Amino acid sequence: MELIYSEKRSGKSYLKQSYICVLLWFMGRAVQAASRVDDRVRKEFKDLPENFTFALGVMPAGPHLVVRRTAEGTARYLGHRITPQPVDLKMEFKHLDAGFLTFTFRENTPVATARDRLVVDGEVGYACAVVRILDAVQIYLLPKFIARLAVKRYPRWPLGQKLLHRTRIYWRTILGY
Amino acid sequence: MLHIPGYYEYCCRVNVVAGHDGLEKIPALLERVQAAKPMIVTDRGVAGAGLIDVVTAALGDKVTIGGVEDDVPQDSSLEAVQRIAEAYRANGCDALIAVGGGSVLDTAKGANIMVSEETDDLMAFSGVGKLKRRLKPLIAIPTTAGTGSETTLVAVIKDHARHQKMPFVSYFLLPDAAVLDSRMTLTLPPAITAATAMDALTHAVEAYTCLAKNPLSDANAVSAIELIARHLMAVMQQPDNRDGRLALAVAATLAGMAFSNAMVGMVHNIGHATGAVCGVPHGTCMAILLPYGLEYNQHRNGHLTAELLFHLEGPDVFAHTPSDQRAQKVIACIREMNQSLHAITQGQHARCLRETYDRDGNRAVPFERLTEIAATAKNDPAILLNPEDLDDEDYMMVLEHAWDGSPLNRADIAGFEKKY
Amino acid sequence: MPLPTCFEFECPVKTHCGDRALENIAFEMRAMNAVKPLIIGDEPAAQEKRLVPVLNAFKNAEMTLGVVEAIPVEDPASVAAQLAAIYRDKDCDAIVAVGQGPFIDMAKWLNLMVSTGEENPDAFIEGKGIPRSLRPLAVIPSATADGLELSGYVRLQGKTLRSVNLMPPLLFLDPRSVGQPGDVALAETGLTALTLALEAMFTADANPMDVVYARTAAKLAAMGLNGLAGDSEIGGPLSLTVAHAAALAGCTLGAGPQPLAFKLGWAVAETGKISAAQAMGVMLSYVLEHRLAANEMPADMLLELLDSAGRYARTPEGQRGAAGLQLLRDLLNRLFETTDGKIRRTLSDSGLSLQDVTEATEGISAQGKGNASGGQETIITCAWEGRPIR
Repeated sequence: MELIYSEKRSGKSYLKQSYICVLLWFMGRAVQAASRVDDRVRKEFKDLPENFTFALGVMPAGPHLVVRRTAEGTARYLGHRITPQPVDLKMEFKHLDAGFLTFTFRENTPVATARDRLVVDGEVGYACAVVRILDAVQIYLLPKFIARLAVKRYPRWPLGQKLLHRTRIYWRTILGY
Repeated sequence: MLHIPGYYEYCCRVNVVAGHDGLEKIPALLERVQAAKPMIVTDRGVAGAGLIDVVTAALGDKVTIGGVEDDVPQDSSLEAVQRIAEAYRANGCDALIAVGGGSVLDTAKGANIMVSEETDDLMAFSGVGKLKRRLKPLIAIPTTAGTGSETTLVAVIKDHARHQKMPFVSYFLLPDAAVLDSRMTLTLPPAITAATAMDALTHAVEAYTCLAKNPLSDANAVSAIELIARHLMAVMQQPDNRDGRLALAVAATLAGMAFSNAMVGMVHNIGHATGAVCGVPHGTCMAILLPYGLEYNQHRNGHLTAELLFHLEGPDVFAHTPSDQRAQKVIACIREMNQSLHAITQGQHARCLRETYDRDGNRAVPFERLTEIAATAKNDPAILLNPEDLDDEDYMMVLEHAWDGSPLNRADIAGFEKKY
Repeated sequence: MPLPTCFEFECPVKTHCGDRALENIAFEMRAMNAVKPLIIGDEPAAQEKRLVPVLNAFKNAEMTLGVVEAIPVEDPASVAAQLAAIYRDKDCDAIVAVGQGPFIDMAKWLNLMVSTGEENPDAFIEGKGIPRSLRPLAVIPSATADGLELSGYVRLQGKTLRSVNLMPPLLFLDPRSVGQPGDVALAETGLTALTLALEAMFTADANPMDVVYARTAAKLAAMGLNGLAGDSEIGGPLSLTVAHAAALAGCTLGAGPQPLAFKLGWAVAETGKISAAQAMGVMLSYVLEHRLAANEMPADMLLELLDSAGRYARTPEGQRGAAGLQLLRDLLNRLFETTDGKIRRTLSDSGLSLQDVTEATEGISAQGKGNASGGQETIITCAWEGRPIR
């Protein structure tokens, strides 16, 4: 009997990709904002080497969020493309769906790591700092009931400070400074 | 009980050959991969202990040895890798046999990348998944029963000139075969036997109790724990116990399979930092810190720790211990193991950080350096898969108790709920 | 169990199991330098639309996929030859096989052909000439597996090739691709897995590394079968558990000799009155009982595998072996009840006469891993009657 061969391009999931794109864009700008507002995040960035650049994103072709530690010790969001700037630490989900699970807060970073969803490449020693930065930013950006799912343990920061910082980070994220 | 996570991956592609005459199987293993002229890579310690002679005698005239490179430094270095790759090419070798621990194997892996990819630029292959094809055959012969490095797909090479660590991660870095032979560990001194066995036990216990566990890594872990529980003390009392030595070597590889799939947690996290800051041997750190890791995480994974009692102490103790006390009993058993090892080795096996000494007989971990250890530990990635987080205060609490040798205070740990 | 003084272990299979497992195929392909997989599926997979989630899982992977669906397995050699021509003609560089049983044999043979260029299976008899690295082959089995999918076996027109190098390097078990077969089919898969796993565990020379797979497969199979028999909560979907058990049981077998109950099961199935899986399920407890008695090995661990460490620990030492065997038989009896008698408890349940069974199994030798010689007659008689050996 004759076998029927067909050929197809692997499709695209535009909805999931757009969602992740927007979320990473927002997170990237929020990291930049938080590095200027919150002492913990500022200290994490201060401890990173100058010009250290990290990316968080999805294999094989992005999107990513790329952030660099500036000479002043704060963060600068560099956009959603890995090239042209060299990246020191890359944390990438193996596929779009893995990223989607995490970015819709159904699998937090530890669970995604435990499930081998992420590939960490480059200066692995700084991965912990990056995870702490991302955790802090999520705690500021998200309402508690969602942020609790995203981090291993939800911290008790003084409420007034948290609300004030949250407002400032939101404004800076939206305005991009 | 079977714990099935929502998703898991498991891979253990190393061909393991184990036995009292495992080394004699090497010619057949080489033939299987169409190799005939291996280069032996090792370090001075292994060669000095006469183990290379045992290997070459076992190979006999069935294999032409293309050279023995026996000066791999303690930390795998780029220079050593380059030197070995040059010798490999000059002698027309077609396979590598790494005899020794982690750094020997890493060096051999680095040299293998150079000779297989026909490159002098090792950096171009650094990172995850940069290697895209099979390398030259590599056989690993571990000489301690602990690290399990023969099952890992990672190599780390240090470029001292540029002060850089080059990590390599690829399935193609898994050795083609790991040969476990009781003769390789028969002459291991008691303190090292104890520390390496506790290292293997820690791999198994952390793999079973941390976040990336899966049913296959669990099965690896419990087999390793059973073998160590059954054979360690017998080997300590009778070092030339060949069956016991083989069992410990097999247990170490099983534990290696478990942790290379399920990863590890805070015991390794703090242990790595203690090693980096104060130079305490890895196995010693593991032995000391294991009970503390289990104690600290107990509110998260006590039910998993409890299950290990069956494998560590057998069914009778398990049945006689009420289920809510089993985790505590496991921790107590591990402390007792450390105590017995301390006694058998006349104090060489340290029970707490205070009892570790450097080569000159000075205290290896001065109390003042605990803060430095805590700061280093914060940036060690092993913490990612620990069930509970640790902040600066938590690190100090654990380190102070581990330094002193006193159990953690349950009230301090219960403070989590208040703090978070 | 004592540690053998000499053993070898190898399992080249990488397991991916659970939620969104299929989405990892593209990543694994890229890691093995493959960019254009040929995705093939058998007829049941086409009927149950199990290829759809597989193809969808490649979204955003930026790959080109070759697809051949609804492949019949009646004439595997000619089908494989046609597929090999397609593979070469279309420049494919990996195979993704969605299906079960003989179809996976065909896929492994196809891979051997395209990797070596050799078209005659006789060239590989006794595992000779099978290279260590073939093209990447991903197997996506269903829950109606025959247990050999992940093994190193290839059955092709009455010939059998076996080698560790024939074990598929990639296994993907995903709730979306294992299908939803009926209870009887699921129970049969579970019984096959249980047979392969328990026989591997209870041999005198079982090594601790084989036992890792065997133990896990046995526990999964027991969990699935207990779920089918109506009790115990099971984590996750039943068909995934059963498919998982069968896949790991295949890894346990590897390229080693087939165990006795497994072979007897296939031989009895030749009569056409009972399936191989059911026949081996019936014979398993008798084979184990006989082997353990002959080798003076305790059957104690059965209790832990089929139930729990707690049950094992609280049962007095002298009673554990018998309790374990009884548990195995009870399991079958309960399956008999929940499937309205479709899963047989004894060989006589299937309407076979003792003589039929004896004749069907005449050529089977008990030679093989850990089998005690002789006693086959006792095993068959007891399994036919449903009476413990002792």
